[in-house]
Amino acid sequence: MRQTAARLNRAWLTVLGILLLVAGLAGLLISTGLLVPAARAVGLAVTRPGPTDKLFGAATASAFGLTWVVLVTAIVAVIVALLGLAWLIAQVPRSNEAKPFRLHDDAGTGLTRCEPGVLTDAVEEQIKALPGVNNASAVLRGSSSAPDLTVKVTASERADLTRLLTSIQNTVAADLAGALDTKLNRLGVQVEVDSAKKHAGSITV
Amino acid sequence: MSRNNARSRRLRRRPSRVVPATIVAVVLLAIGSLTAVAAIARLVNGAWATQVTRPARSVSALTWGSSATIVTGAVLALIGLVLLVAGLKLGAFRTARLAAPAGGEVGQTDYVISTRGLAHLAAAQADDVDGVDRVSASASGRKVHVAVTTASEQADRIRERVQAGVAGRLTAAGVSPAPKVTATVRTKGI
Repeated sequence: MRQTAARLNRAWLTVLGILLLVAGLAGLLISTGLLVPAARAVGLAVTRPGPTDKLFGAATASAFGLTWVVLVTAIVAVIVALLGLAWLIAQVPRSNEAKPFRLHDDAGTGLTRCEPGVLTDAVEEQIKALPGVNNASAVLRGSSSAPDLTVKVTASERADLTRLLTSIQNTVAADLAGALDTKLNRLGVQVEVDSAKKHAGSITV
Repeated sequence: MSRNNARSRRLRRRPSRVVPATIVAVVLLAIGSLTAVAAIARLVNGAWATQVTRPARSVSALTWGSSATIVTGAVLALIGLVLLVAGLKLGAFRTARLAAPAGGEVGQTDYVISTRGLAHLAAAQADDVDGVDRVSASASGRKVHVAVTTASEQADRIRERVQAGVAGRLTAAGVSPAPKVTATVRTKGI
């Protein structure tokens, strides 16, 4: 029910995967001495580096003695660290709940605001009262004129799921739509089923 | 990248690759932070710290043909391949679609059940079959497998009843498309 950064993850994993793969294969080509024949095969006149050359020559060492090179290194490193931190923060799942609904947004006649949490609390209580439901949580997204309701319902193993969905759609969602005086733009329901093993200490009559 | 578009609101999703993304993000953060600290210390003190110069000296002594370089290249290529597969492979759905009931005035509906929930439903149904002692079930979006243990000698008959019962329960629950149900029966020694 919570939203994750799936596309961001896949895009960056692909980009970094390609970079590392190319770098690793290039390193292997140089290390095994295959770079020169491979370059010749594609018409490039590359002669170095070869397997006997040093990884970093004297030029690299002297470059890192220059202040501007160190400064650029520091800036790039800070950018990489910030990107890593931003990517890490993006992994936290978010509910992206709607901002307070503005039921009346004309300052002249009066403003009426409604917290989505108030509505979702009512939705949750209504769903929990349905037969076979052990737990429920709800999130409202969108606007008061086109609300999106997403519900996670934990049902018991014996619950009639078709009847449960019918009740949620035709009663709970209809009541919410009536309260907001609009039609629900979208209704999403994720059903989880509780294992009876978790309630080994209880008995249902 | 917005998470509020129609695709991210769908409940039937493929894996988000959170684990590899978290690992790579932590590695990037660590490399960036350590390098930044070392470079800033160099700018302040006028010389690289010994924690930097010592490993740098040993790396600069390496040649391209050394075994350490070959191993590093192979490891980098392997990690790259793993990340590429993680980024491009779609992965299996972790939910199955449930049919929307008739009636109600809703623009769009999106009803799903988790594969874990499917497995629990299947196990509960199989547990009701006479002769079944123990049940375990696993499910993907398209397949449900039930493994039962029985003390009965009528293993084939129990398997048929388990399969039919579970398939009927999932169809009645509105799982769409109906997953393929398979069952294995292990007979306990009497």
